[in-house]
Formats: sequence, C-alpha cells, structure tokens
Amino acid sequence: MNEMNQSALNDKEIIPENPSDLIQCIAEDDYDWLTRQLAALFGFSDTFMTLWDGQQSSLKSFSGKREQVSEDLLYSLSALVHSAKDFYLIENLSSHPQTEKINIPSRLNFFVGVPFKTKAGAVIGAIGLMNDIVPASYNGHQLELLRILVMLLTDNIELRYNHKSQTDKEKLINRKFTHDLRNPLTVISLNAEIINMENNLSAGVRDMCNQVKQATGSMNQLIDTFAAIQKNAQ
Amino acid sequence: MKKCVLIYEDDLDIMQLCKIILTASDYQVETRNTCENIIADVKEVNPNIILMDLWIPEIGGEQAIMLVKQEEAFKDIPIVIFSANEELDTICKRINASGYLKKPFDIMDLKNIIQLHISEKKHSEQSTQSV
Repeated sequence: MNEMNQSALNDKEIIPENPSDLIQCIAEDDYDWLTRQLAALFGFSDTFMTLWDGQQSSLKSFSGKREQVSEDLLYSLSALVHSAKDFYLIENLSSHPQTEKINIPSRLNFFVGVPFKTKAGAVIGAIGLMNDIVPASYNGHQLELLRILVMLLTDNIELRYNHKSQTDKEKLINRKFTHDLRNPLTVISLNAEIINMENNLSAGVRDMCNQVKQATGSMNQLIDTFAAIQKNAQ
Repeated sequence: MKKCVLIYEDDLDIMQLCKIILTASDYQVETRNTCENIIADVKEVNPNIILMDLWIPEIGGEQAIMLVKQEEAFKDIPIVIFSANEELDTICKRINASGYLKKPFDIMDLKNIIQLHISEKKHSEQSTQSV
C-alpha cells in the first residue's frame, strides 16, 4: 500500500504503455464533430479520421460521400501519413505507387494527411482530407493551421488520458485506504469484545473495552463518510 | 455432529479471531489463507458453510466462489462473503453468494450470519426431502 501510494503520488505525468489507452480517452462524438469542422474549414469534399492502436487502423469518422470511398484507400493513406514527420501530401492519388491499384473515385485526386503523434512520438492516428483539386481556401497557411489543430487535439487526448489515469489511481488508493483501515479496526473491535466477555474483569477494564469498542465504531463512521465523499466526488 | 465452517482470510489476525469466536460457538472451523485450491479444500473439508474474504490471494474471493458454484456437488454450499469492500451488496448479488458481512463486524454479527445460512440450508434440504 505505502509503495503504491508513493508511486502514484510521484507520477506527475503518466506515459501510456499502449497507444490504444490514449485512443480510449476520445469521446465518440468528438471524432465526427472534428471531422466535419475540418471539412468545412478547409473546403475539402471528403475528410476522415483513423486511429492506430499499434497493430491496425480503424476508421473513426468520415465526412463526405462515404459509400464511394473504400476502406483499402483510407487505411493505405493512413499508413502513409503515419510514416510522415509532419504531413503527407499527394497531388494525384491514382498515380501514387501506394494507391494506384486501389479503386479511387475520379473526383478525388488531391490528398493531405497529418499524423496524430504524442509528445513521446507515438503515432495514434491520422487525419486525412481529400478533394478533386487543391481547394481554393487551401494554402500553406492552412496546412500549418491543420498541423496545429492536430497537435492540439493530440495534446487534448493526452491530457484526458493523464486525467483519467490519475483519477483511476486515486480511486484505487482510496479503495485500498478504506479497506486497509477497516481490517485492523475489525481486529481491535473483536479483541475488545472478546476481552469484555471474560468473567473476572474489573469495572475499569470493562469500561476500557467499551471505550475501545466505541472508538472503533467512531473511526469506522469516519471511514464510511470518507468513502461516501469520494464516491460522490467521482 | 458439529457444523463445519471453512474460512478463507489472508489477514491472519482476523482469521484467528473468527476461529476463536466460532469454535467457542461449537462450530468446527477450518481455515485457509489462499483460495487457489478451493475445490480441493472443499472436497477435503466438506464444509457446511464457507466464509470468504474477497481480497485474498491468489485468484481472489469472487473467482473462487464462481469455481465452487460451477461444481454440481458444491453449488448449494452457503457462501458468505466478508470484506471491507464498499460494494459488498452488489458483489454478493453478482456472484450469487448467500450473504455478506461487512468489516468491521461484531461477534454477534458473525455468529448470526453463520447460524442464519446454516439454518436456511438445513430448511431447504428438509423441504426438498419432504417433497
């Protein structure tokens, strides 16, 4: 218990062992909202977001004509974006070596994607924007804006993860704390009762046993109150 | 013949106190501080009731109880869980335990719950026989 508490309290920043732990901290609604916003902001016809759990990608949201775009295309593009340092840009999708064998709607030629990268450098997903031509509203400045947006989103995911991890640890410590206090209280209380059952006790010792019993009862009420406060706070 | 209580508890002080209390109440008491061999224990001891701590090595009380419940020969043995856990009522229902005892408890609490569930088992057996 002490070691665990110490370790939990010392952790200022929690590094996830698995990217999928981070991904779980994004609310489902957030994907759709962000994807729609990006499509509108940059004027792209089709926008998507995929997440990478360390082994495979999964499509989390799509804004545009989903029925015309195959998963093969989305996951191939995501894989290209994962390998990029900052962004990945394709001016002609149908002639790109990684996508030329995939059935691509003729209306989609231009692609730009930005990877979700944690501060530690782990890739946890990709956001991709597609259009027939370079949208009029899109320029170098917009690309920089997109990168910053993705960086902010990744920071937000990491913050949520850290908050969740910290909350989970606090819950565990509180559970351990109340549990580990009640066990010795049980021992004290039962011993006081057993001693009190002896026939030849002096009145003074009997009073002491009753005091111990009452004190353990009060301590247990305090623990119950603490546990109830913690539960309400969660 | 004395009724047998099999106690699983890793806190040796609590285990010893329960043994003293129940032995004084004329029960035969067997104790274990881990529960990974619960099926072998139950076969060996043939208890009338099991008193199970939840946070106990190696597999934990919940898992141990589920193992017993899966065995046709043992599934009707009353199992009372006792723990300092906050959600004993929920856990009790989830694992289909006969009852629960929240720590800290009094001597009477312990004696009453053991007596209650042994009596209930006896009545249920008598009803089955009379049918």
